[in-house]
Amino acid sequence: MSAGILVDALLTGAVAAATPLLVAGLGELAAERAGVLNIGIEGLMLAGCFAAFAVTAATGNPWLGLGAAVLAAMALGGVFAVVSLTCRADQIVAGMAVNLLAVGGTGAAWRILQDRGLTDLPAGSGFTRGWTGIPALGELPVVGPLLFDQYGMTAFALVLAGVLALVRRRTRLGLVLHGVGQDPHALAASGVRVLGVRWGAVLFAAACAGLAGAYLSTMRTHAFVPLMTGGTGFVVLALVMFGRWSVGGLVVGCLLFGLAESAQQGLQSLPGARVVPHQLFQALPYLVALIALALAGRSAPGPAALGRPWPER
Amino acid sequence: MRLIPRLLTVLACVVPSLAQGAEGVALITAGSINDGGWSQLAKEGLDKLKAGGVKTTVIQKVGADAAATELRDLAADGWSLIIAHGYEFLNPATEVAKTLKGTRIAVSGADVERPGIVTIDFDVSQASYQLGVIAGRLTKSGKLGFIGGGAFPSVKACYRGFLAGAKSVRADATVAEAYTSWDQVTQNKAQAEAFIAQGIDQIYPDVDAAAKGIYEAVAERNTAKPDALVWTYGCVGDANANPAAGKWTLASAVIRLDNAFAHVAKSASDGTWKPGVVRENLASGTCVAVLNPTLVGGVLTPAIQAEVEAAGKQLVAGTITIP
Repeated sequence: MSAGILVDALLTGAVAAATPLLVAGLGELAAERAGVLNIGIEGLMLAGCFAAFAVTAATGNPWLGLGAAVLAAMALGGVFAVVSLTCRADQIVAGMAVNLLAVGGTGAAWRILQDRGLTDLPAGSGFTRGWTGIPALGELPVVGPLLFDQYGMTAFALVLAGVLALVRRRTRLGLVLHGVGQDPHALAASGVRVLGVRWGAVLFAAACAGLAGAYLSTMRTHAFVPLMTGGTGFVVLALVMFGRWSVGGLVVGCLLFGLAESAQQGLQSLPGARVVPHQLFQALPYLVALIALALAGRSAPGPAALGRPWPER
Repeated sequence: MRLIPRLLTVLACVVPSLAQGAEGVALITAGSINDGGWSQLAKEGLDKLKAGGVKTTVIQKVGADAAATELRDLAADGWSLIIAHGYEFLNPATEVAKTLKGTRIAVSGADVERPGIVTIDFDVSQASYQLGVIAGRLTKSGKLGFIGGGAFPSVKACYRGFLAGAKSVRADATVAEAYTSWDQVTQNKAQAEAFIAQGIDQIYPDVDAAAKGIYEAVAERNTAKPDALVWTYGCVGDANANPAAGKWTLASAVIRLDNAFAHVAKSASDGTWKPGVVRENLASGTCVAVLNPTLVGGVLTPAIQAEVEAAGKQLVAGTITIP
């Protein structure tokens, strides 16, 4: 087995693991830039994950599944927005409530699916690898496994990252988003509807989280199990902070975490690895995230109004 | 005054059914009986008893906190044997058994002795040995992989059995082992992909329903590279016809729960019931290797079938033991 093949596999696995983090992270980044800290992103992903699977299982159409994931996550995101933005409840508490709601809701709904025998997607109904449909592209050195031997969501994530970076730097919307999270009083004085901008950012973040969840259940795998997101949403929160609320930093963070995730799978099976408890290997990506967060956190001031209600009490 | 005749009528309906009792086998499961894994397997086992004329009932989705109540209710309904399917029912079953007369309780999937109840232990390591024989014969790279949901003793025993079986026919075979999770399909798929990238061409998963991820990884690989196939197996349930990679699943180490349930049902009814651990294995016909019938005669040649069968006989006879 050549080292090249192993490196390719490592990188392919890293990008596959990084993709849902990046999609959900870009949404959360926009929300936090607007001053809203939604720790319910894990729940939004879970809702999207389940909705995509359920609708694809029922209809055989994964595109409908994607749509359902976006709608389900936006609905739950809307609940969060009503509670935390309109009613000005604590954003942390509201986010936790969203997580609990998603865990309970998807768990109950999953049992209904089980009772109806909808536990598998119809044959060939999920999205397949190699989104271009041109297998030769996947064989290209380096870029093949990284970009083309992936699911369509990877390409979408990269395009979305580019668009968001442009919006942030080159458009008025980017300035408004930044301003709402930094100094909402100044923006309000200049006629910007702060609450409206925050609502929009929360719903955008929810849609992204829904897509990230759909990636897990209709692309990366064609299956759903309760609690399938497995804490991915919480990792996303850390990565946004690690990336210092910038698109570039987030991309680097996601790739770093994906690389650690991919590496631990290879490391576990190395000869002699059994002297180390397997839980330590599984913890490796989270240790990397923790260390990176600790290092980044020392010099990373977030949006000044992050987590504060509007209008302030 | 009309109330008394009505009450008498109701009693007349209810009392005979109480007196008659519900002699038969009741099952409680923690999960849904359609979960595609442990609970569904139990329901299928119970259905086979039912087909044999045994009266049965099942209560699914029972949490450990509600188990004692359900067990008492079933006993009050007169069921002669209650099978609590899963280790999590061990404590409530032990507590309830102290208060029961006439109803027996068996906890399946537990291997510890508790007063008043039977626990049923399943040893799949011998069937895993037989799967290892197949893997050793069919591997081209000599590299095999084992993925467990957790590093529990019963799971490690399957690994040791698989390794010993493979080495019995191919001394230079290696089995890489990795432990992931019982429910994270994505993680299991990624682990299988990592194995495949390392040149592993036979993957034996013991991860319950999360094996879906492993089967998907195998199917994706084999679809992309049909000239260098990766083969896989099933564990606990019969995965030979799994929708993702059934045509690349060589065999399954299966727990025949109907067999195990029939054994405890028989002991409960014929007076041989004795609290303690009942060990189900290859010799008892409960934990057996089942070859994929669609591959028998093809990839699974008569010579390989004969080797698997011979290994089974030696395991039962005790001339081969799992390290």
